[in-house]
Amino acid sequence: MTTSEVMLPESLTRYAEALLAGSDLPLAEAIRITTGERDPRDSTDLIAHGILDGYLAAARYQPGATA
Amino acid sequence: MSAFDLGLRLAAHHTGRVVPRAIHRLQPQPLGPVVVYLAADKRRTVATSATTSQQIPGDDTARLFLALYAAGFDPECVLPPTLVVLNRAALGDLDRAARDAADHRDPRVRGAAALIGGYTCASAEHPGSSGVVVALDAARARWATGEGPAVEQTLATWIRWLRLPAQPVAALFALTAKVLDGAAMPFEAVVHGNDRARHRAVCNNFGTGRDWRKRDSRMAAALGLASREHAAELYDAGLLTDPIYAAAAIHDGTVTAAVATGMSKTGNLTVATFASRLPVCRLREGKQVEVIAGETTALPLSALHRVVGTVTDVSVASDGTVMVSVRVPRPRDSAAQPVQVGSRYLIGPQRPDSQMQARSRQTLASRYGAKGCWLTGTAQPKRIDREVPLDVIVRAAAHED
Repeated sequence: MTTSEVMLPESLTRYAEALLAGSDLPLAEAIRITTGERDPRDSTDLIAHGILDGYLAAARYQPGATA
Repeated sequence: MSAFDLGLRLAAHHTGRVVPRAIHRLQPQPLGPVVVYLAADKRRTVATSATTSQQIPGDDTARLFLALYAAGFDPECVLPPTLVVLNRAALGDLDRAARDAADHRDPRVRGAAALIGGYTCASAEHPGSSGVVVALDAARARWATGEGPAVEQTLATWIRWLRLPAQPVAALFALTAKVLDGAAMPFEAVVHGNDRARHRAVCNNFGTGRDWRKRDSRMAAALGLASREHAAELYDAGLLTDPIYAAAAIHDGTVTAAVATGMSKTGNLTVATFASRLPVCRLREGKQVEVIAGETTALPLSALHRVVGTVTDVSVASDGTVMVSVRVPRPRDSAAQPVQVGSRYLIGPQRPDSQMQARSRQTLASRYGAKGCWLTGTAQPKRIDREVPLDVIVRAAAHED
């Protein structure tokens, strides 16, 4: 999935932008991290690590997930 | 709001399915009957199942409490009931109605009102109690949707994401069943015991004819505060035994994930040093902690994998690594090591001891009941000036916000 394919609902976009307001991480980068296009381990950005860990936890524990 | 939370929400959005925030059930199993209360369009509904409900006009308080009495809010009943409400506003509405009904001539109305006001509403102030399920709060604590947090404040959102029945009463019963699904948190038996004791106290109080609306004595208020605080401590500690909550806690610094880098022996004690790459850490010198072997994915772990210690030092190395030193007791078996250098550990707050909590409440009660106690007596306490630690000032300032 590429960044351009990811369409967020407006409520989540606003939420994500508010969260990222205190970070150097733009929303598109956050999405790239969560879709695996960018490796957050190269980044020292705490928010990048947080987003990825949340995404990975979801993949691990979501019912029916294989991760 | 956290980055971890955003990761969960993005995953839910991408898959179109809710994502769990916890694999455990955060709500204990009900001890007695489960009753749904819903207020909408100037009507109130009391339901004992998805198909058995009573519609009551909004201004008929007596009928409302008779319905609740019949559903299990009976002071003669031994089993504490569980009330399911949509949100805290609904509970506030019911509390106001209970206060109005407390003088009703029918003892069944007064009894149900006393249980709602004295037990159910107080249960909402005891995190993790089985006395009440605040449906939207319980859903948000258990799952994340692929929407922003504001959208999760409506039942319609959860009907859509959890594929619940469209009819609100049936949806609340189905949501409650999902909330109650999963393994229990570690302190569920303790929570049940505390709930039973509070329920019994309210029923006994009603039996004596005492007005439950009367303002608490200073002693009752202080003991009630201790009871709420202990419930919150148990709930918070229980959350940290859940792998997803623990993973999220790493990102707010409540839990530190680190590698053991060294050990030194001082007399009968061992000081273990840990290194964490994530520069978020709430550990401070003197804090009692648990050092748990492994990673969050291995939670919950048995007591064999835990060691309790005291933080002796926290520092940040020049490369940004957080270094934490923890003093831990040496095992009785001198060949065994409390910590293996090179292995990964989680360092988090020490979980409360529920028996110690109960004993401390008993001690408080006897102290407050003693003659000459400044809190419960009439004498004004003497003013004492002393220095306040910086940590306390910082925390107080944070609460001011």
